[in-house]
Amino acid sequence: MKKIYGVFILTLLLFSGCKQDEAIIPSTLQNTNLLGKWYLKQLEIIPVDDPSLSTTIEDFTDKDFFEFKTGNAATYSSTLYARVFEGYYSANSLTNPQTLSFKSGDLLLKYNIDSLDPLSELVVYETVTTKEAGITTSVRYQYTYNRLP
Amino acid sequence: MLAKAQLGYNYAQYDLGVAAALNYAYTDAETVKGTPAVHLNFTYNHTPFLNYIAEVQIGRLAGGDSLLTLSGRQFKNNYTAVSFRGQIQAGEFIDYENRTIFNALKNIYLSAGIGVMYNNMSEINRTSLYIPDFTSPGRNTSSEVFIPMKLGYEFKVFNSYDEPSMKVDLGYQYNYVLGDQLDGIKAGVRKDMYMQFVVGIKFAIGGFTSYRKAITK
Repeated sequence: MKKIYGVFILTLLLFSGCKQDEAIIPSTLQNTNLLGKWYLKQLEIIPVDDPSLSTTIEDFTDKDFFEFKTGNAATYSSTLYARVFEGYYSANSLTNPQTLSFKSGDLLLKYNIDSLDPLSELVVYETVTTKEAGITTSVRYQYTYNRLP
Repeated sequence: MLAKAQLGYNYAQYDLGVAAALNYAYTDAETVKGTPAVHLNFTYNHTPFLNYIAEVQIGRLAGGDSLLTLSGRQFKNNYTAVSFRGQIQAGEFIDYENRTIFNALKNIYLSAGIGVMYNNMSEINRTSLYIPDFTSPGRNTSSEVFIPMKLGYEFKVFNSYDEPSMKVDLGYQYNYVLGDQLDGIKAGVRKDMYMQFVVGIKFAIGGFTSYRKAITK
């Protein structure tokens, strides 16, 4: 009888194990405080060498937004591109400052998070450095998003 | 000595065999692909129905899709495995003489053992095409212990002396890997495994002796 039990257990093992782990996105790439819709309110263009020459743009519409969803899905809408991009985001908490990236096809946006108030305001920035005629120029593009349109 | 003279009782203690397998690896990669393998084995038949098998597997495992899955995980593993299994066939337990159905069932077997596999990723993609910064770490080469368990049927082909001179083996083999590097990716909580559908052939090569009962019906 013991032999029969052994055979039974072995048979159960044979047919019970074909399961896989789901590809779970690391928690370090998610930020639940971001979930929801964020409307672009302001873009500040700040020359790093001379911040007094900064310019501010505020004529954005309710078609300029990010929407972050569960499972790292995200939507990016931009009147500049005149279209809506469906893709994925990651907020990498292992970097300092924390980065916020969005990818949809060939479009890749990479920002640093300057500040995040989950109820009201998200401020992200990117610094673009160009070299022309031997002179290096850095410009900081700072985007302020609000919860309300 | 008397038993050796009886037709239908004799069998070879040693077999050499070769088999073809279709592999399916269940790993951290999100899709499963069928891939081939070849098995070479040496069998010591303690009785016609109690066998010890040393086996070498050379084959490929593959899975995942870098373009169509969110994680982007994709791998091809050219592996070599050596294993040792004990195999018990129903004929060892049941009285199949003069019973047609039991005689057919006597060749059903279960086996289990232990082995070591050597993994070498010939192709691997660790980076998600869709989620920025999402990468899957792991090792391109590794060796891991695995537990093979097999369920199958061994058709015995008898020669003119009623000895099983050739065997055709149909089996399903479940290989539980005691590690997580079958796909070169270490992720999640489950360990990797791969299953195989096996078709093989074995030839008796010597060491003839007698069994306690007739092997044929």
